[in-house]
Amino acid sequence: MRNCWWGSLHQTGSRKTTGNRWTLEVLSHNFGPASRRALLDEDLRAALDRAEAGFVHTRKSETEKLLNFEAFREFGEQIKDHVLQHLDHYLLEFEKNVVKNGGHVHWANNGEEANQQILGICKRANARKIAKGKSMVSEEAATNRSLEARGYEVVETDLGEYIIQLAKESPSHIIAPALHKSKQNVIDLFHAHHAKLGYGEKVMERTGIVSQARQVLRDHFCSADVGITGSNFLVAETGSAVIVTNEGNGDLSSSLPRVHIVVASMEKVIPDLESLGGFLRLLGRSATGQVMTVYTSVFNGPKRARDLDGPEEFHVILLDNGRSGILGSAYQDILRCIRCGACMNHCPVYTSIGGHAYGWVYPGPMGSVLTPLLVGRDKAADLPYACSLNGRCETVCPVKIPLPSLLRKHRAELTESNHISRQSKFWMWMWYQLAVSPRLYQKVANFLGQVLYWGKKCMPRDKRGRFGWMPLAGPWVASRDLPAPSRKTFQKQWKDANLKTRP
Amino acid sequence: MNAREQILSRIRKHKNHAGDPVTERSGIRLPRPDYGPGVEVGGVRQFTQMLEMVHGTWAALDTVEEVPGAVRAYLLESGGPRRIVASPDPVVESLDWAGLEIEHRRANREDEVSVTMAFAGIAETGTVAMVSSSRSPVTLNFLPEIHIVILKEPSLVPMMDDFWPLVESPPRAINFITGPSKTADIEQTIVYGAHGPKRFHVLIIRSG
Repeated sequence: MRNCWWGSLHQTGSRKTTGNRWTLEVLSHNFGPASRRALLDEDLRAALDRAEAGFVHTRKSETEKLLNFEAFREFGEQIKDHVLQHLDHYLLEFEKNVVKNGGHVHWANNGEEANQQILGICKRANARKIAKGKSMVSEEAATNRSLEARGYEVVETDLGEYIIQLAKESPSHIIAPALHKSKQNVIDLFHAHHAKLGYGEKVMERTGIVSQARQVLRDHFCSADVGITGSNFLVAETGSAVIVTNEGNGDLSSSLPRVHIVVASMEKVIPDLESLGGFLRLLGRSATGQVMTVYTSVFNGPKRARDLDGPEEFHVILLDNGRSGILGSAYQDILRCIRCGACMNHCPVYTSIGGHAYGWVYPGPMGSVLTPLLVGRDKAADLPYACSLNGRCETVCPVKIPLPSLLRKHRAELTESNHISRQSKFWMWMWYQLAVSPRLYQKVANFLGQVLYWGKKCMPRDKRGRFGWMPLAGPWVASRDLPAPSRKTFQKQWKDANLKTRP
Repeated sequence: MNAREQILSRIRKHKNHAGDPVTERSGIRLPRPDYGPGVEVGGVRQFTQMLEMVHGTWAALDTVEEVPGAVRAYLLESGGPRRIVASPDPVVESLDWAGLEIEHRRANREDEVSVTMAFAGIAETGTVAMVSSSRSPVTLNFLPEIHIVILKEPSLVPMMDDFWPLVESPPRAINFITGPSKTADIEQTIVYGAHGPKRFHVLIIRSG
């Protein structure tokens, strides 16, 4: 198997359990070098190009068919804002109804507490094997590691999650976790891990790979004692946990084992089934360009007395892990996020470097806003700058989160709290002085233009006359095209031309 | 103070708002989906069109008595086995299943074909809604490779929003199913039959 850089990153202990609020170690400070390595990885580029083309195109065609998609975006925005204003009310209503349905609700301040509660439930159930559906908050909490450390066998059942579990990596996209893996990677991984299960021959075709995964995971489903899943929406009115999948793994994880545990961060709560109808129209279209995902499942507690299948116990773990600190702040809008992934699919930075370079659970624009808030701005100071402020993420966001403004806000606060160097600050100040005085700007621009025009012979340039090196600005021109200027500035040329044509 | 109290007190501390949630919620209206002039949400036509788009198949029958024949024909045509497991539903049990090996129970690992009775259908998305009960075990919807669902036309509603009032007491699970199981986790290419059924066939009963 190819030893790729993100593989080695994670093998060197990124899932270390620390005493912090966040149990998954944050590697976001490493954004610069990590993104440079990602840019040079051709397999990754190919995978990202494929994904971008697919996601962007299908989203566009399906959102256009629903003519009033915009009205649904507004609905989603308003409902989420409303819930955030009354979060205590809705969480308590949700709790009351889960209990009424025969389930249990556990509250966790942080990932560590959530893991302890999960361990407690598994211990009481005498569990040995745990089948896991996709859950990003369990990535935050590094739940798998915590369970494995206590001797439990944890099997991820979403095909993408299963692939990266075999590869000992972390998800690189919130809805397509193994997006960075090629078919050949998967063939090799399966061969390495499934040979001992009696699958000696390499399977080369996609359908064969999927069918093998189906067989192997079916064994796990049928022998698991506990199923852990995430949740896309928690419905307060009915105490329901809603899970959306295409594979059906969430349903098998929640129907076959004796115990079903749902782990969800608390902002997932929505008021009622009517709002669920609104959000489902937004989620599938924004995420994968699907009108409706194959399976949308609404779970309301444990098996009823006369049911022939289903779990005997139903638990929901409501996780805060830093969300309450964002509530009421200038960044509250990010809590509207429904984790569709549209912002990253449309982000020129994400689609160039992939998810791992962001160094924590959530990549792309929503990750660049959320990660500094959840792990501390000092640990993720580069992320708000991983953005060209082109604004596509905001246009496609199903709940209208103003992502570029939130990133700018981060930048402003980073500057105020001296997170940027004195040198950068000085040059920013100089730029500011020029920008507020057009006359001075013209003079300086004219002067620099002249210097570059006359001095261009002394500096290396490519065939088309662009600078390859420049004193004081070497790194800047190394990755950008700066053509040598003409002798006269645009303003001067305009003035001359107008003088000539005037009668 | 336990975690619950701590979280709630932090939420209340950061909150800068004290309106009444019920009045405020009622002010936010769910829009009615607009698919353009002439496209009315609802009806069998829309249901089957949407179902076909997601690789689901269907057949229309006049009465529920025709179901066993249609199942036989489908299995013959698709090369499926003649051993099926079906919901322990009085209507399904009362049919004449001659020529097929049938058991009415929950599904197990080895079962290859299931026949179930849908609680309702949703035209807007081509979805069938399965509501768990002693007559409708959920494993039938997920374990077999071929899933055949009986849908009575009168139980077809235009939108999901019209479905909720039909459910009386909350069942353990409501499964909305829209086509066969699929995954795109290997190089973004769709493969059917990830964990759930590879094939998903709906028998629409006109008479109800």
